[in-house]
Amino acid sequence: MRTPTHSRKLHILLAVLLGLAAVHAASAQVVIAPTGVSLPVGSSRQFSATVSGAPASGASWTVNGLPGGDSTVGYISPTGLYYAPAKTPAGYAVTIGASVSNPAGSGSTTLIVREQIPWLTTITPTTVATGAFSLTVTGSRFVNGAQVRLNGVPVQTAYVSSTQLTATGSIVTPGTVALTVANPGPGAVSTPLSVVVSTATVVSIAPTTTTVDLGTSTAFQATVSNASDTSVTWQVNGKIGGGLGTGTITPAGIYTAPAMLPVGGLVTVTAVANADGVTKASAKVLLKDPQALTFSRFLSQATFGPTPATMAHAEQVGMLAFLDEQFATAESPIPPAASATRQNVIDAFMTNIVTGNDQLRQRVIFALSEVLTISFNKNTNGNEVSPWLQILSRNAFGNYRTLLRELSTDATMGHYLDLVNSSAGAPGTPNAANENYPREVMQLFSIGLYKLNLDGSVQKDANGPIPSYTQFDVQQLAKAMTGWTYPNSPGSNGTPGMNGMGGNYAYAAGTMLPMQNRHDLSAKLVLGQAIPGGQSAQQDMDDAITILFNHPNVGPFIATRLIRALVTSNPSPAYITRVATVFNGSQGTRGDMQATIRAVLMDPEARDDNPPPTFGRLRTAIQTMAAFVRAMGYPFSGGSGMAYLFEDMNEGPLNAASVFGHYSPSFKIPKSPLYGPEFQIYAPSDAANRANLLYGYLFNPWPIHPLLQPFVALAGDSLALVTAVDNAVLFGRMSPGLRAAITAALPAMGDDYQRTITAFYLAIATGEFQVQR
Amino acid sequence: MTHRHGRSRREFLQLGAAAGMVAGLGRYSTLSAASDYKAVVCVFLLGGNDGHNMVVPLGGPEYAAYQAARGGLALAAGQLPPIADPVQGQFGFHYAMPEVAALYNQGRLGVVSNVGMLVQPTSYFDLSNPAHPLPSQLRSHSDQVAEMMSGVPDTSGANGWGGRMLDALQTANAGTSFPVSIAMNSPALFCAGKFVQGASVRPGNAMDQTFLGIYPPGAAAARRTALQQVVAADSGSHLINAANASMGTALALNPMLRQAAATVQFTKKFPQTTLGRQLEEVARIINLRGQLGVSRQVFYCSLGGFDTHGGQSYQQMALLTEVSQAFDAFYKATEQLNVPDAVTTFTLSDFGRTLQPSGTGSDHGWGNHQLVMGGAVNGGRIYGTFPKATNYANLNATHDDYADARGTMLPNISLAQYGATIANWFGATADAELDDICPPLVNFAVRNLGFMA
Repeated sequence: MRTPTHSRKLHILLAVLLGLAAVHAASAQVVIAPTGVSLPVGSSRQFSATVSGAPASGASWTVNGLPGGDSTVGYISPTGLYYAPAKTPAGYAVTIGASVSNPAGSGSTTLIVREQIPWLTTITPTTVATGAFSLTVTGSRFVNGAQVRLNGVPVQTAYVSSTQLTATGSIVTPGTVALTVANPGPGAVSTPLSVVVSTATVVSIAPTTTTVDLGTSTAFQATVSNASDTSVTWQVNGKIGGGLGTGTITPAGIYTAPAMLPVGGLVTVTAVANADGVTKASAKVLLKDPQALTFSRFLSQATFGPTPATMAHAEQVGMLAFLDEQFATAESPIPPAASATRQNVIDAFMTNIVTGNDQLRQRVIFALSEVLTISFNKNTNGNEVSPWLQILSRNAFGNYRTLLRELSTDATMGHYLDLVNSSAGAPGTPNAANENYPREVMQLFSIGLYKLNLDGSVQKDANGPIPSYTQFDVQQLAKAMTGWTYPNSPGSNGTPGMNGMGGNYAYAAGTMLPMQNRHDLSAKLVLGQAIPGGQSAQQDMDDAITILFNHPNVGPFIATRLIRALVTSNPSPAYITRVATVFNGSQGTRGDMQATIRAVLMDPEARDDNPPPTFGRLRTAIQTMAAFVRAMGYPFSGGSGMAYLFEDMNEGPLNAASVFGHYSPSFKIPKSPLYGPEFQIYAPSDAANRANLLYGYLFNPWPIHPLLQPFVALAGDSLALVTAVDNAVLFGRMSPGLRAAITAALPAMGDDYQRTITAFYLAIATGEFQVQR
Repeated sequence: MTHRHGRSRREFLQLGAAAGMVAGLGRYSTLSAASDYKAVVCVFLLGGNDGHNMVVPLGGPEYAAYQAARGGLALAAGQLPPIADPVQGQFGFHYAMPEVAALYNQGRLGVVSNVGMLVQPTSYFDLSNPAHPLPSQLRSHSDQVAEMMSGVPDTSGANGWGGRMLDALQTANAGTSFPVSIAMNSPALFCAGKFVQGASVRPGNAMDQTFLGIYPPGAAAARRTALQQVVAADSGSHLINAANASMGTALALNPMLRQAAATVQFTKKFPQTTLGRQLEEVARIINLRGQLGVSRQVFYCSLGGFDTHGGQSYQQMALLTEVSQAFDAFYKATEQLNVPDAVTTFTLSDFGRTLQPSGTGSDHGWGNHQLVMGGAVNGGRIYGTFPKATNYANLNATHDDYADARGTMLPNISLAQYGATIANWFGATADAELDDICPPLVNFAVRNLGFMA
């Protein structure tokens, strides 16, 4: 292979020879079109060659005499398509040549290869006083050596970056001047932006944009020109001296940020010239919570999403104290059975989630509701669900054994899983003890299908996973759990037996009544442990729950479910081990829910602010709605009226299709080895419906929700809008990719409402908000 | 199978996105696939349908034994729409299923009796042998649903036999960017293949996003572009990427689903029930088969509520009414679309139930009866040996109808044989393909039950 140098020399020699030949033969003139072309670097242009008006077939193309060109002068294809080089060539010009051989002939054209034309976005300030000035010009495509020109006259220019220049100088004539930026070389001058040069009083402020951590201070400086009184009055968001929510500013211009992030986290500091009381200059202050990442992560796990107030409070008291406060917070109300309706139970469930002060309890209730499920689809009346919800609420911070025991004889669960009126069966009748609750209480509520190690992994032997119970255990447990009927309904005579089978008719509000004559009195053997014969229904139930509760599976089983519900779908075995150990009583009592929840939330794996790519969990539709409403401070009440929307996202409130809840804890993300239970209800149609629900919060009432007005006010500035949205809903975690996509979409929007809605929607309808990590 | 058939999710999204942006239906494909089109539609009866009361033996001693065993659950013989099997005699469908009985009597529908999850042929005697392999976690809803969908007799199945049928037939679908394996309402393991991606669609929902419908068009386009950019980007988090992929699929499917909804009116109205609406959506998508360039499709529909531990009589009646009416409308829709012979609909369920009741319901069982419907079905017959109710009273090892004293049917036909018969009709005819689609099939001598033409 030839070296480039050899090749270059040979090409030049050939070109010279060909040129001579053309002169001597003079038999064909090649005409190249178009002519007079000016191209920016990196672009392309098609050229054509003709001889006597006919296409010159088989023409050989050169650039500066080089067949095909090279990276310095640009390349040309065999069909005449010219690609300009990435950097301007010497003299900003190249010559394209084309030659033909029969008859021999050639032609050429010279074209300009120039820098790209710069684009300008802003000039700061836009008004300067006569005299010395300093301007910051932002835009794009600036090349080192670019010149700022005022009315075409170059001024001293410093190149900062491809998007920023600073220009300094002095100007004496008042009026409006056109500012352009010229990249080096010909033909690369921007369209102009205006700068006003004024003899009137002018105020300038520095810095014009800055980021300030909450609770800290920064100094602003104001310069007043063309006035004898150069003093200013400082305002924050238009209020002299500022205020508590927006931060304060001293007469000397020392701004102190507030302790809590205001909406959007952006305020405006203004200096008003005292000379006229009107002229002013403003600076944008992006407030930053230095603990936002840490505490927004924590509150996304321990609550249904951070609010500005809970962020400030948790940061002040710390996580452990926050948890202790939550453990002590009174339960949010749940309608008592006597007045419960389907509507007011769903209202309470939803409202407590969004606005309850006992956020951690609500979060645990939600988690338990997907483990110890009851559904309106069978328990159709309010009083068939509210007692169950009260049990979850009352025991969320108690002991798991108590929770399991209360549920097992509550009539709501008895009705839902058919334990109620389960009977030993009269001799000779084709009837057997009902197996439904006995099976599910083992499979779903306590021990699961397979024997587990402490770290949640399944124990295996030569035959594979070892089942934790057999059909024999189910039938034995079913016998132990016979002999319960519905409580006496109001107005009944208090004597079970009304339904003709020895039990009460359906009335699910209250604790089931034992019916000793329907209880199977035989001795039972459940999971290898004996329950003596002849005991009462209550004694058998107590023994059965004790056997289940003390099974070694319960710790890792419940630990895994709580971790998945609160923190991450794919916890490490070590994380499960740590939580299961606490559940097992390492801090005192087996089944202690407070200790277990604390272990889930304070685990190093939960608290790692730089989590691995596998960390996190998908929010459900209800959780996504709650997180948005809480972050933005939307009012919320009721919730049953919007239940149909969640039905359409496979998450009808308290209305799961079965005891398996709305999603399976073992659901895996499609085409992935990772668990993602909530992805089962995030199919494409769910994603579109969820996005439409969120859009309603932005768009209604037309043209935008009033709570978003502060964002509209700053929407003209893309950076400010995107930053404000980031702070408001993503707590400063917006990825560069999402930021870039939003920023790119904004210029096409018709007005600031559309800009604001666009920014919010792209942030909340997509993965970064949907996933809690 | 070569890897070039495997199309990554992201590639799929890009293809779909491209199709979405050009939006014209004619763009999807210029091929007409209608000449070679087949679809299978799985209807999953969630909760464990009580097959004992779906198909009831009416022969004298069998009915009497059935009635004695079922007690309060027994259906009155005179109410049941009668059907006959040329070999096994007289039966009746549940009184809620006159439409299904009519389809049976027209030869459009068949019954496959006592199908269940099996590792290998299993007798009553085998059950007392601890070394005899059985499917894991029999009688557990979640596990048996997963096993029925995956076709694998334990919970290790990572994909479904519907998806694997399409894996075997990927070249037939090379011309389409539309998903070929579609579950109604939410994703189903049944639809996911090793290579073919399962998708899900909600009846009547074209996945429109209000956000994208604004004026001026330039603003709408900028929003769509930005949304596509966000959902296609690698965020660095697997969970965020997965969530975005779901939204990406919604964007890609949106224009195609709009078209599906707009192009057909069915003469026989579908009942607007849970199952009726699902099957209507299936029929709408089938109607687009030519434009979409698809020639093999798998659909999954489901109806919940069959876990009738209590109150079975009225609950199952309502559910089977819904099944019967929806099946009838769907079969007539396939006739209207000129594809009655190209579409086969079949049922699955978690498991059967106990013959012996507990209270007003029944408990989890094992073997169960299933329905197969379509013009290509050799209908009007009951396949497999129907368990004899007269054998229940003297449970022993001399017959293999029941697995236990509760009257749990011991499956005589494995899911693998049932599935392979359908897969073979669908076009996966090679032994290796069928063994991959229905792995336990290798343990069974009969590989085709003969209920498909």
